Amino acid sequence: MTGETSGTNEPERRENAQETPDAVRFSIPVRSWNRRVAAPKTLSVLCPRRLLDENGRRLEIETKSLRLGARPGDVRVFAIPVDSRKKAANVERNVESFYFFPQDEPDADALEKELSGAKKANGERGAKEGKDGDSDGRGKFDGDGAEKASVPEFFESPENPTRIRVPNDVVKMEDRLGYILQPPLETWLGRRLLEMPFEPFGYQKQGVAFLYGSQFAVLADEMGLGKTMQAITTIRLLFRSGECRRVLLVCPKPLVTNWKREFEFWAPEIPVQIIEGKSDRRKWLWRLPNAPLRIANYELLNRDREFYAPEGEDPRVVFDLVVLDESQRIKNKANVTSEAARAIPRRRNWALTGTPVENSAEDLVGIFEFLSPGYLKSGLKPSEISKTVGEYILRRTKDKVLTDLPPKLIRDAHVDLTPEQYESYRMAQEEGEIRLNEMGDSVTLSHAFELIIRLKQICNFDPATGESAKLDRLVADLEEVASSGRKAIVFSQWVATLERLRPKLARFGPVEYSGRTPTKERDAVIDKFRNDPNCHVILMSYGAGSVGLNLQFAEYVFLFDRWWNPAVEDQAINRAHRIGAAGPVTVTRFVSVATIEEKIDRILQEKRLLSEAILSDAKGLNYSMGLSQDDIFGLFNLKAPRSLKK
Amino acid sequence: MTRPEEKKRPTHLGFLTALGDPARGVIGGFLILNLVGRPTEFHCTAPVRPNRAQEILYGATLEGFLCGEQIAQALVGRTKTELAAILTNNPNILTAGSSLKAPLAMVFRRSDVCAEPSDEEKYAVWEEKTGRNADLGAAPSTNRRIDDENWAPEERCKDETNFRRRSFFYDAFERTPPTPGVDYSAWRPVAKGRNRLALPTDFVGPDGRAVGVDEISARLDLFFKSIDSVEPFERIRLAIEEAQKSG
Repeated sequence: MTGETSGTNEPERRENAQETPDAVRFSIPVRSWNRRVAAPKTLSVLCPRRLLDENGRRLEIETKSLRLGARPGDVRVFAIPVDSRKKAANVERNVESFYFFPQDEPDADALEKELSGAKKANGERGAKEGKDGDSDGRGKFDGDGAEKASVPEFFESPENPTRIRVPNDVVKMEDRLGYILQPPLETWLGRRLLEMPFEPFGYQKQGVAFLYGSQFAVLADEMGLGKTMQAITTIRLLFRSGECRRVLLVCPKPLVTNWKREFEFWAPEIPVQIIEGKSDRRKWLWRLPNAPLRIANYELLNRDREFYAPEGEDPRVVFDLVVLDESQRIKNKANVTSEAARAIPRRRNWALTGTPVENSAEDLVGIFEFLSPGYLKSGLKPSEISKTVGEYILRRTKDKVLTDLPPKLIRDAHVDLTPEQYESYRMAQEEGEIRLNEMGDSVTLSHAFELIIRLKQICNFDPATGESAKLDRLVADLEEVASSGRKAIVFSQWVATLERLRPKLARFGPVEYSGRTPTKERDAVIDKFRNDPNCHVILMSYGAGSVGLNLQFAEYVFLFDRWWNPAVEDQAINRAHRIGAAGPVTVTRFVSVATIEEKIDRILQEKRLLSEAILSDAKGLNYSMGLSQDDIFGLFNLKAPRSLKK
Repeated sequence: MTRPEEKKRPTHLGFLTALGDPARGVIGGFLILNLVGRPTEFHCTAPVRPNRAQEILYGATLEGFLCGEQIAQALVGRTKTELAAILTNNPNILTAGSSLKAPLAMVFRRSDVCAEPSDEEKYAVWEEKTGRNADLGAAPSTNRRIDDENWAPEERCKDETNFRRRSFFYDAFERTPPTPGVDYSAWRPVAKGRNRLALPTDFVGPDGRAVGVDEISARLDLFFKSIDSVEPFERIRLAIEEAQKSG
């Protein structure tokens, strides 16, 4: 036997190779995962040095520390400025949270004390947490709360535990072993390491295992499967392991408060800093060195670019992780939001979206341009795209993983327009087509769109008489919904339509949630819809209500008119049909017979096929099924003018 | 007057195993976890193959020699971390006995042990309790089991509880035949959740202090709140496979 040592600096010589094993081949302290992070000893010394106001001035403060649970090192400090000149509102504004990560090696005595304390507390806490939750991934779990909260005397790993995925692009053996030797997720998520309000589903654990090791990744689960929970849990694990210190989450503006709420629910120990307010304050927030988690909205990204990525100088804060929620917002790599997102200084990034492919495969190229610039080229076939990005996209659908989710019943309500309404429709169509024909080669897409919108609006309400066949049908259906004490969501493309519907549906106690609803009032609207037994209907615009909301207590969804994109419609439907749905969700899609709505419906079906082709590696499907110029003009039996084809 | 400093209790647990056979080479893996199951150290050996002289010299105890004396000593000698105990799932490693710097305990998976005594074994208990002979026909193995007290002389079948403890231990060793040279009276069976352990009864630490079964058991309880006693061996197996793939 020959002695040979690798992984150590000096090869070891053995005097008697016969008596010792061939070699200890390598001896690696498992890498940074196990870095010891000491909790600060003296909080009152630490805080004054770090707390600055928005102008960078040091604040005189008093500190209050709060131990969350008894977990050693799990300390959160609230520092409150002691400046009598500051008004109450300002004090609140300047409250800052510091989060100190738990020590890797907890003290045995403290742990023992905690465990014995937890045993006693089990019964009480279990009863409190027993009620079902109402958000992503927190609704339908086995057992009651007491069972969930109970701490078994001995931890028992399942037969096939969920292990952290080792990314293929990690090649160094020590790094690969670093992943392999980590505890399975069941151990991580056990009561000792991470307290979870609910036991995650198996596929959710796999999602966490997928994200955890990924430098760049798309979590593309179908809406309602709990992408939010998976992302938050993974972020939590990364914080715990010391892999991340600064995380930025970017989402559409209406979802900011939703994300904050979700963080409070799934990761209450992580302080969340929302980037908002006036320019000076936002600048200060972007440049805070210690904030672990910041939430910004897409609209701010471009405006604040100078704050997080100043030209000609190094950024003050480099994020360890940037997460883009509803990442279809950056599908067009040329738009300013996409450029702004790419400018964020970061080490790793994930994209969350239920609809990675909305219109064409180029959508995915745009997202990957952010995740890993240049990795995915334009113009590839769906099968090639699928092969290239397969490892980096995780896509699950409800029918595959949630076999016990109540069914989604989709029915197309084919409605005949009233005679007066149809007459208005016919006249508008004829006039419009004549006008488009007369325009010849000078016709543009916007001319065609104008006509489409006009016709769709007539399908909703007759402009002359105010009649609406769809409304009549909706009222009839809502009678049934209300009488059974259930709740319904009505979606429309136009706020004006919603406003016309509201008085007509007054007896169902409608509330409205649209772009015109002030942000501060939105939570109250949702609360009323959720809790008021007399409120049976919420009227929503696709733009404001189709993403991020959890309305699984509603069992009926009505699409009063159709959106251009099936993905947006799916998003809307999945507000109700998601984890926690109490019963089957009935979706009614109104389609006016013999109108442009029927033709659009056909195109939407084809678009759905495109998405499936890329995400399921299906071959042989027509590549370009988006709403092309020919499709749009084809709605009126016209050909796209040559000038546009060029 | 100065108060003598209380010795801090160990906050790490070792998992030691050996995979393979002497013909193809035995690979040892040693993983150290902290209280919450996170790895702090990992060591593994290259495949160890005995030479001809060793094969002749050690004969039936060859595997015990390789695993217990060579691999276990070398791997455990690599760490400076103070360990609450070292667990193994390979009986050949038990030949290291109390020579390691922490108590060495054997772990059995639930599926490896007999959760309930078989009918034959129940009859045997009944026989012993009542002093009457049950008509079991040809069941010599049953008698052998009950009469064979070499492995745990202090664990007489006084009652059924004792019998069950004995039964799983015996059964486990029967399925993974004990290594020649291992004194089974030096281990006592203990149940930890669904898994079973055999803890050493006479461990003396490097500081000369005797550590009893109860103390070892209490030390382990602290870990098993958050660590499964069997699962880490799978991590070692996967890590060794990965190391082999990488050459």
